[in-house]
Amino acid sequence: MGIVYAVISGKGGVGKTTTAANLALGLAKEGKKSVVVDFDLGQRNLDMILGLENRIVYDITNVMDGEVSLNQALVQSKEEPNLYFLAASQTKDKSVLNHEKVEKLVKDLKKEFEYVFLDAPAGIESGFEHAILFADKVIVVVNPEVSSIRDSDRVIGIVDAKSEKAKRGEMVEKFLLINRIDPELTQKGEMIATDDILDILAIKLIGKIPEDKNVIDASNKGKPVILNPKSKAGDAYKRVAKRICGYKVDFEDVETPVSKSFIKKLAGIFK
Amino acid sequence: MKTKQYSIKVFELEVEDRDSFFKFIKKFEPILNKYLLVLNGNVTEEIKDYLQEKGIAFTTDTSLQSKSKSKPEHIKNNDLKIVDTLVRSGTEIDSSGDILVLTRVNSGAVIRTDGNYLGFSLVDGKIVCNGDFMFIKKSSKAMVIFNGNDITNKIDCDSFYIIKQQGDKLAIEKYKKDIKWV
Repeated sequence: MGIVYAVISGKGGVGKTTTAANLALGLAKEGKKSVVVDFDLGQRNLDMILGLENRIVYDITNVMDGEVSLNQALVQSKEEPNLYFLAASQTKDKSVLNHEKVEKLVKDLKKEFEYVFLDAPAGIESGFEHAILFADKVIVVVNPEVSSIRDSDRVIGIVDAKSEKAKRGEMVEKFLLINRIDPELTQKGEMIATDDILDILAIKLIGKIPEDKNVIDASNKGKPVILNPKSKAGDAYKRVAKRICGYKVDFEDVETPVSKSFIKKLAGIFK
Repeated sequence: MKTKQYSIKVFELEVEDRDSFFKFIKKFEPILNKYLLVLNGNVTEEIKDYLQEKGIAFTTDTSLQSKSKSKPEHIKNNDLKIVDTLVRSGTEIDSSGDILVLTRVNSGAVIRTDGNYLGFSLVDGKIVCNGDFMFIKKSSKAMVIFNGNDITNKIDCDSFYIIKQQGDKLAIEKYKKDIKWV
């Protein structure tokens, strides 16, 4: 049985979809059979970020309605055969989701794959609630700024209250991924420090992703940034994927600007 | 123009029923004569006429009433509620008695209590306390209301505070010692 991760944030635009795409790809590259599901019905984006937009024949609603089998709707990545993708519908909205349909879909995915990533929509409406319903674990994506942190705090509360696991009295494991850390701003104290975010949200840290201009280009080209060997964000995603696999990977300092970390290294040599 | 300042002593009376009121007034008339009476409850015309006749100054202006009169009732029911999980954004906690909060109260969370509030972690959210005292440390984002008074700007963010209701006034005191957990 696979493990289902819901990627959530509350606030939009913090990098949920980018994170879901990169982590699923990262795990596929680690040799794990992974699938990433776009749960943002009516506003699908994940297909573009993965560069699979022109290969979608059937989407998640076709599968849930029983019109086609799961295997017919799954799209396999050409670059990474371990990675599969299930698209959201662009024409229908989240009102087509219901408890039984989502449960069956998630169960079927768990049978087929080692890792299932559900890319939840922003907000706390039914689309989001269905995405977290059957999640084993959640990854909370947060930007180091107040509104994102507060919204994340809210969605963590909802996961603890409304997911099926929580209703059975079990704890849903929650991991924090801090995205778009700007070293310069962090140094100036204008961005909220990692320790402060952890204080507020009180969940386990799984990754720190630095701000990286390559991410936008990667999204536009449909090649997730994890494939770019020169990208810092890509490296950070690789480390997160390794942590999800169970490897112990130390947290790198992404908060120190490059120039300063170079001086630090030099100073280290002369110690 | 001449001005003078007086301090007036005020006697507050609540009229529960006519007979007991007149019994009381007649008994203490020589004393009550010297005071201004603040009357509340069922103040009938008969009572007003009687007091005017006797030359006893009185008012029914409720703004003169002391606030200490409405003693919170929670002191009787001593149920203490303990909160030991993080109070996340969007959570509302209502308590009729005293509340002890060991964890953070995050931005967007609300705790309301008719009893006393004892918080041992930072508050980012909103606290509404109607008890006799509160013990609190807030951040710059927090909002603190104590017995209907917004005291958010009266306490700093650097340390714990003890806020007590003393009669009509609030006693706000910084808690100087460090809280160390074993």
